Amino acid sequence: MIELKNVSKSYDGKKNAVDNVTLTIRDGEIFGFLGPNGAGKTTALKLVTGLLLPDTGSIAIDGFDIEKDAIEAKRRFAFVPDNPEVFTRLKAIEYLRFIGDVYGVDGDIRKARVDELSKKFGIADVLNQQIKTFSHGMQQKLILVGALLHDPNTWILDEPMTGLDPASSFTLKTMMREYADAGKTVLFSTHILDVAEKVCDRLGIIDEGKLIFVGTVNELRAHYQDDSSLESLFLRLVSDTENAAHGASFVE
Amino acid sequence: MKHYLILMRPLWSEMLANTSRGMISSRKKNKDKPRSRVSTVFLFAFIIVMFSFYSVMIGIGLTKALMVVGAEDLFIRIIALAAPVFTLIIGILQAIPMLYHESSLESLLVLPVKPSTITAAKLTQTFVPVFLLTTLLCYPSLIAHGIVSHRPWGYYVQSIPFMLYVTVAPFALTMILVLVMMRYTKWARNKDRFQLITSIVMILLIVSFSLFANMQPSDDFFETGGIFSDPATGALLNRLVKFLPTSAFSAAMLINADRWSTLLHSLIACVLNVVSVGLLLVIADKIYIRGVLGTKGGQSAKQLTSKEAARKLTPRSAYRAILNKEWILLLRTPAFFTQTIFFVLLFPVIMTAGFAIGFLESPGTSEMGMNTIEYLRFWIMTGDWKHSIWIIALIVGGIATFFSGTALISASAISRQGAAFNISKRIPVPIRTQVLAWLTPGILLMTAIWIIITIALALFLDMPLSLALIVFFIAIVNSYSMQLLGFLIDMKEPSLTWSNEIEAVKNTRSGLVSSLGDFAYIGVSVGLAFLVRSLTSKNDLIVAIVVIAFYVAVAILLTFLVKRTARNLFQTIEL
Repeated sequence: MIELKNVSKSYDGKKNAVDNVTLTIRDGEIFGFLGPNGAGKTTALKLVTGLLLPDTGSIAIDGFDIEKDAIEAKRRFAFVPDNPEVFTRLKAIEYLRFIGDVYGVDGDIRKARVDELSKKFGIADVLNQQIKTFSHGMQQKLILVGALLHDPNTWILDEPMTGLDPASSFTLKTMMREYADAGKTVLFSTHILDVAEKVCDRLGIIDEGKLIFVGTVNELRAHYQDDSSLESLFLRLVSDTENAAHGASFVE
Repeated sequence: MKHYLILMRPLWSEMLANTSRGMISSRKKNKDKPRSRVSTVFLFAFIIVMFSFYSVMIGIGLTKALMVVGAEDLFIRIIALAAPVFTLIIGILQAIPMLYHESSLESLLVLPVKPSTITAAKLTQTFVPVFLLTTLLCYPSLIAHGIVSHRPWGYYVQSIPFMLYVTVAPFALTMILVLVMMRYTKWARNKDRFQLITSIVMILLIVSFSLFANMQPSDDFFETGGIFSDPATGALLNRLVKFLPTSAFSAAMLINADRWSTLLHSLIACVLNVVSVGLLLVIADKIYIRGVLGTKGGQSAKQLTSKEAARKLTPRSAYRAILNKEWILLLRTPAFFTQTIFFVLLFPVIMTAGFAIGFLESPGTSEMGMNTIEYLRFWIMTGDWKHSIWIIALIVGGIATFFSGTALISASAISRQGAAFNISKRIPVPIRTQVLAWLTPGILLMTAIWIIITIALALFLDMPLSLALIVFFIAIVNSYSMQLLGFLIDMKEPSLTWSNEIEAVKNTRSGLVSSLGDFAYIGVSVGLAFLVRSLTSKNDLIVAIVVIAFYVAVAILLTFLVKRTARNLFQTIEL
């Protein structure tokens, strides 16, 4: 479970990149963060993962505060960034060993998971190669394998479909579902509304740092009394918020 | 021809940009600002003046020396041999990255231009810097030689084609060698491996040259010409030049500049050059593009068997995992390896060899007729060193500080991580464990170096164990302090958004402070020693105790500061 309480973050001290966000993401659900470019999605995810610290408010993962109980909180989640951040001169197998070591994954379990996940994502044949020879998509797959190695309770992904081929994208979506069904938490950001509509149990729509909607797609449709696609609902919502700044009322 | 000229325009700009990028360091912070044209021009002017100065000095000195033995023509043969050697070395170092590893190659290959035009343009782009650098090294000395040895006016006219003749053909042959090698062998196709090897070769060449220069008795080199005035050397050079026909004819052309035969020699040298360029173009047209295509694409590596994979996934502690990752990155990244580990290992060797040569060749002291090494042995044997521990502390402390300050391993430990620093922030490993792992390579290497140096000194100077232990202790404490100082600055002001790996090591605030701060530290410790000495009426024991206590206190203070800064490291650095 992820809990954000009155979280705000500003880079320049003037404008909030994330503005007073309060949100609870429950166990067993896939929660999608949507929003236009520069809305604050990546900042929000970086705050959740402790890569940035909030100016105000608090964040807890499975009850552990990301600032005060950082090590315990970090043990409980895995993060897949939008741009692969990885030590590119390590070989893939060396990277996975490194991840296994720092998360304390048992030897046999580690071997079995690397075996299973690398085959699932189609990188089993290149484990002995240096990461710098990998394409963006291949690096993303490796990071996904690394992220799942310690079987985290919470899985946080920033634009995870970027660079993935259709087969891997499908595998990832299936795995996200399996994860959530196993009672774990999946939080991800995306621009692809089609994916969000099909995969997410609930959505959070963020614009200019403010959370303007939290709920299911059906709840959004009910609000607008419109049965159209998520894309048109999303565009209406963002447009309404920009014009009238009344979006806060949607937030649960 | 039109396409060739169109292609040359961006390639020329690229070449200039590459050259200035290599020489002018730029912080990523300023990446959006255009590089100052004034600073680029100033830098180029400085380099040209510096090289020209040395070239002229060598030209004048060597010519005067050779004139004494009546062999001034030998100077022209020396240049006729030196230029192809420079062309070969600079050519190989320049050609492989420029012809095969540049990212712009892919955009050139898709242009609707004949492959032969691309080949010719790329070869021209490679040749220009090789020719300019070789000319910069050789031409000023050639002119200085002409003036000193009163050569006729024809000499100065012919010196211009001379520089072309002695570089074009060797360049063509060097390029043929490179093209064949890159097309038919796997050597140098791996960009990292090539960068690593060339960096090491360059550093070793510079070191060998400086050691060679050190070994020449400098007082009389410019009067006697050193080894060059030796008849045997002269005969050898005369023989060698005949193996390079273009150099032989070019030298003959210049030596006989006041005779009609100079035109014949010039014509032959010109024809040989044209033939070699023609040969290069024919061969390049057939194999260059194929060679380029051969270097692209992913590298294949042996697939892991299940057993191998299991072995390579064996669990370790988090500390060992981070430390192992640090070692791998230091060893596999050419820029990191050459700027840190290789330099750390090489620097003491150069210094020790330089000192050893200098001390062995130093004239005997007036009283005992011993050289410095013999005197040091005598000083140790008689036990006089016990009264000068403070001097030993200052000298050893100074050297250790200097070695450690220039070794940028710890000083770049944070910056080297770049964007992947976010991984360090994310992993559930306490900061103290991570800091310990980041600091270990630097401290371990410095310790290993000082173990070797201390053992070598102990054996060479017949040191008693107590003295060896004092030397080792002082060296280690100071090495440790400098590693911590660099690391502390890197924690406070890391350079994590670099685009070039060299920037991560060289263009950091920590690198600057670490490299220059050691002098300030040495200055303070020397000042303290003399202050205490004057306050205690030259009580050497107290001075020694104070100096060593100062070293230890600095080490403790820096440890405390590193621990305190590390506590909030992940909060203060945001990417």
